[in-house]
Amino acid sequence: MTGWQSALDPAGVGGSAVAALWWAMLAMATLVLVAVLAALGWSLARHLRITAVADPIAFAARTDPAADQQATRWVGVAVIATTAILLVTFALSLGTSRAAARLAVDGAAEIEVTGVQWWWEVRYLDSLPARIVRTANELHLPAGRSIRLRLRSRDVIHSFWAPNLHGKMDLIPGHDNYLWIKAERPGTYRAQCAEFCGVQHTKMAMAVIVHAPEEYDAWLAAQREPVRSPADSVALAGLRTFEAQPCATCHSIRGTMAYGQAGPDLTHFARRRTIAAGERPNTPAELTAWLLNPQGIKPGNHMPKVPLAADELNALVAYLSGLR
Amino acid sequence: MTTSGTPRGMLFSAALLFVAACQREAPALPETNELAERQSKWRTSTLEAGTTTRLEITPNPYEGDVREIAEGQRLYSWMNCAGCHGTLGGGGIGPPLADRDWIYGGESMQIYQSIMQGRPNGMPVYEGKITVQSAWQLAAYVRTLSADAPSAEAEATQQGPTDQGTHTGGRP
Ligand code: HEC
Ligand code: HEC
Ligand SMILES: [Cu+2]
Repeated sequence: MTGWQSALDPAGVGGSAVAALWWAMLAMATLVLVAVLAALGWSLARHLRITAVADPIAFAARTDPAADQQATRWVGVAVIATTAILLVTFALSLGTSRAAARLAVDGAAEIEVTGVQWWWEVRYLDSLPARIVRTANELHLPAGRSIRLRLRSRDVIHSFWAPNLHGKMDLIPGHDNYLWIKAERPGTYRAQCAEFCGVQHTKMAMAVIVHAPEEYDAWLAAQREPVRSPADSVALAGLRTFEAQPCATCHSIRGTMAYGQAGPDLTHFARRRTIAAGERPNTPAELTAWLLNPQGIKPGNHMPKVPLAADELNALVAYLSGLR
Repeated sequence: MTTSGTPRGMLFSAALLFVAACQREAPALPETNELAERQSKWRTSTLEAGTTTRLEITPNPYEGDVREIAEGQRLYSWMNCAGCHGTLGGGGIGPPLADRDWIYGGESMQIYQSIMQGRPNGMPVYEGKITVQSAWQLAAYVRTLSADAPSAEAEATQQGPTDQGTHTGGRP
């Protein structure tokens, strides 16, 4: 029941409320199951008693007002109990929504999460446009602070779901959804797209990293920095390749000539844990495999296979692995 | 008549649909080298605009393939073709692409060349900026834009010889 993608291992306020509701519903469902099985057992036993009667047909045909009345009473009890259970679950789920809604505070930081087939764009908003950070496929949160997530989509409906932290919410094209989230326990969790969005829906995930507040501030400050020009010649050749090949048409790296917006921003790519929206660990070997044939790893995804010479490929991997 | 209607027939049709749907998901892309080879067979320049007769006509490997056309449509907005040619090819800074009136020819290969090599009056060069595969996807999509447009002759007999050759602004 523990795990980095488990609703039963809550690490945030919304997650705790959902887990509490889950356990309450499990307890009620267990009670109902036990009661129904007991009633079934009782009626089976009664049936055995009746078949032992000399003439069962006559026995069944007899009229017994007392027994009928008793049966009616039991049906009444069952109806009242069912209604009560419905009302209690309804009240509990209202309470869960309220617990999550109470997270709203004034002046909270806002993070924009945009679903794109099949990856996540994440922007850390700021009143000063120059301080806005655009990254991808990883969501960083400070522990203990309420954050407002602005959820959007560039193409079809997606759904943001980090079970340890909160319930789901849809990302809808042309409409902003807001989700208040408050993580409490630092750690690494996993979010997964929870609304079918096309061929690579299953491979649309991201790590959610909850930092201690000071650590988060330091992380965000580091993300604001553009990248430094690579020092060694191979990586420098990689930068040139990146700018000369179609890569720069789709990807941006702040501080270079790459401004493309179609694909994930790669500015501090080497700090990310994964490649291709949580699909592979971010290692030079996996990166090489991805660049060699992205369609082999995520068939149908929107990054084309770019034909590269061996030295171009090596240079690119050296360059991208150095983007810290 | 078919067997559909009976439960077994329905099951069979469902299974067929399922199999067909599975095939749609696996893109059978020609190898990139093969695409490059097709490309290198053509002359890269001619003296006059819009020659159709002297170039070897190479068919678009993606013509009519819905998956590739959809990818082309995505690229059409990603690469900002829409910014100059209009969202559905209605025209703007660049000429309309949703009519049958081509300056440089409406064959797949000619559209491919318009994209990759650019055209003098303001069409940027995309060679090196997009892959060969992407360019074919774009060309396949661009061709669908004019699929419903009346043919050039039909339009001419309808309107008489009016603004042939002027390409500024949107469609009439
Ligand atoms: C037509 C646009 C396009 C081109 C050209 C392109 N990419 Fe991509 N790239 C994408 C898209 C879209 C994704 C996201 C794929 C996914 O995860 O579904 C991506 C993903 C990536 C990733 C993984 C990023 C992450 O955070 O998971 C890397 C690294 C990358 N591309 C590098 C490159 C390099 C290097 C080149 C040039 C050789 C290149 N790309 C060319 C569109 C493009
Ligand atoms: C900066 C504006 C601009 C952009 C961006 C642009 N085009 Fe063009 N395009 C033009 C202009 C202007 C012409 C006409 C050139 C001429 O007449 O020499 C043209 C011509 C064309 C033609 C030839 C039309 C004909 O009648 O023969 C095609 C095809 C075409 N563009 C497709 C595209 C595609 C596909 C894209 C995106 C990858 C694109 N264009 C992006 C401006 C643009
Ligand atoms: Cu999805």
